[in-house]
Formats: sequence, C-alpha cells, structure tokens
Amino acid sequence: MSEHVHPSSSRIYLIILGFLLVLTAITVGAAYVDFGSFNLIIAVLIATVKATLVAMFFMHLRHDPPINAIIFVSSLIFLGLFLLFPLIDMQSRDKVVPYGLRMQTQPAAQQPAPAGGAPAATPAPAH
Amino acid sequence: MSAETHVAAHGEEAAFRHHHFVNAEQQFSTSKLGMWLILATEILMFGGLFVGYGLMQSLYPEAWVAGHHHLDRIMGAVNTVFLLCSSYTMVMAVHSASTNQKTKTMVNLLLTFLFAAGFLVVKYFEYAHKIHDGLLPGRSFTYAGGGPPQQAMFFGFYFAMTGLHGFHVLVGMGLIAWIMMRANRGEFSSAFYTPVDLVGLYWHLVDLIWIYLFPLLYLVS
Repeated sequence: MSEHVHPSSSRIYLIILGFLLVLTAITVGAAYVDFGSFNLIIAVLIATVKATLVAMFFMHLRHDPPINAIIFVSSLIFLGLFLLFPLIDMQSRDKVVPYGLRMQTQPAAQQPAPAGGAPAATPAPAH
Repeated sequence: MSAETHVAAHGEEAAFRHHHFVNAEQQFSTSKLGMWLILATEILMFGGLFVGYGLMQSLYPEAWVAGHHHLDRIMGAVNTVFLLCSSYTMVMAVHSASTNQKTKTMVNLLLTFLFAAGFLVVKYFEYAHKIHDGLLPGRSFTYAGGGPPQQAMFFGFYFAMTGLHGFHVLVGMGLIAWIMMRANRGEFSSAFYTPVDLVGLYWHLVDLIWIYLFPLLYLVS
C-alpha cells in the first residue's frame, strides 16, 4: 500500500522547501520597494503561491483523492464570500444613502482622540 | 470516494483496521477526509479574523502602515523560515514513517518540535517588546509615540491573530510529542502511519496560516 500513497520521492520535498525559502526572501525584499498600494497585492499573491506549494506537495493534495482538495478549496471560496459581501457593503454604503444623510467616512482621523486611550472605532452607524 | 478496489490481503492489517472499513486503504482515506474537514473549520475560524483585518485595513490604511512599523520584519522572517523548515521536517517524518525508517521519523519529529519551540521563543521576545512599549489592543494601548489612534485596533488584530496562531503552534507541539512517543514504541509502519500523516496535515495548516499572517501583519506599507 505504501508504494502508491506517496509516490513522490523525498527529494521533491527539499526542492519545494527551497522554492518556499526563495519566495520568502522575495516577499521580504519586495516590501522594501515602494509599489504603492500594489505592495499588499504582491505580498498576498506570493503568499498564495507558497500556500499552493505547501498544500499540493507537503499536504499531498496532488496525489490525494480529489474530495480533499474540494473541501479545502470550498472553505477558501466561502472565506472569499465572507470577505466580499461586507467589503461591498462598506465601500458602497455611502453611495446609496440619500444626500444629507451621508455618514462620516473618516470620523476619528481629524478629531482629537477621546480620553481614556484610543477607541477601537467601529464604522460609524448608518444614520 | 476513491474507486480503488485494492482488497489488501495483509494479515497484519487486522491489528489496526476497524471492522467497518473495507480495507486499510479505505480506512486511511476516511481518516484523511475527516482531518481535511477539521482543517476547513480551522480555516473558517481564522477566516473571521482575516475578514475583520481586511475590512478595517480598507477603512484605516494609514493606521495599519503606522502600526506595522512597530513590528520587526527580521524576527517575522526568521519565524517564517522556522515554520517552513518545520513543515519540511514534518513531511520527511511522514515519509520516513511510511517507509519503515523509525530513527529518521524520530529525528524529523524532534527537529519539527524544536523549530516550533524556536518560533515561540521569537514570538515571546516580540510580545515582550510590544507589552513594554504599550503597543496593546484597545484600551490597553498606551504607546506614547503618537500616530493614528486606530493603531490600537491594528494591535488588536495583531494579538488576536498571532495569539490564536501561537496557541495552534503550542497544540501542534503537544501533538508532535505524542506522535514521537508512539513512534518510539514502534506503532507505525508502512502499513499504518495515519496519526503521523494527520498531525502532519495539521502542522502544515499552521504553517499555511503563518504564510499569510507574515505579509499581512509585517509587510503592509
């Protein structure tokens, strides 16, 4: 049974580790260069490549029955939905509120900090 | 699931196979399926924090940039290397266990354990530094160096995310120690090494989450 469970020889794991370390060095290096708002996108993209390598090779998804990968990917898809809908709401809420009832988008930025330390400000409630 | 019909005729198989499984192969993939379901719930648990992070980052990007300047990139990078190497030694432990190499299994598990301990030691120094400077969540934020007030929220996410992750590292160390004890008793062989494999899957997920935490917390700008 062992022959077909882990067909990849152990050398491939060392090669993958090498890739992962190189990608880590690239991420750290890229963080010192200013790409503006693309810095975060680049960092997340590289992290995704690393995560894919770990999942495919270290977690054996490449050789597993597809059901395991389906479970894994669907949890990520639902995480994406979870992120997407509140993000759409927060970015567009301002646009659908009638003029005059518009909420303040950056409440605490210009105001003096309230007493008792900084507030963990929740977004201002739609009024 | 897998339509393989290997009716394994191993005599020793009866020692570990439960009667409701057709064969050892099916028992092995069933255990793995269960582990992947656990990992999916883990992803969703961390997911809540990642979503909160994403939303607040989009509201207060300048506080995130100011907050991340207090984190030590070198320490974060060292910890990334520790966890990546520990993932490698873990997968080597699984490989060794599946090929009947007991000593190699033990050595690789021990290395994994030590990398995990190294990770927590670095984390301890980072936390001690944050606590000393008052870079703490919410009302406990007493940092005197100024900057956007929402930095308190950034450190809320920092401590919640790395704290939950650190707890997973601690649990992982316990699991690895348990697997080492069982390996030492000679419980694993090419016919049965499921526990090593499942703890391995858990450990790689811990690594996977750190792969995202590192750039999101330490490398924002």
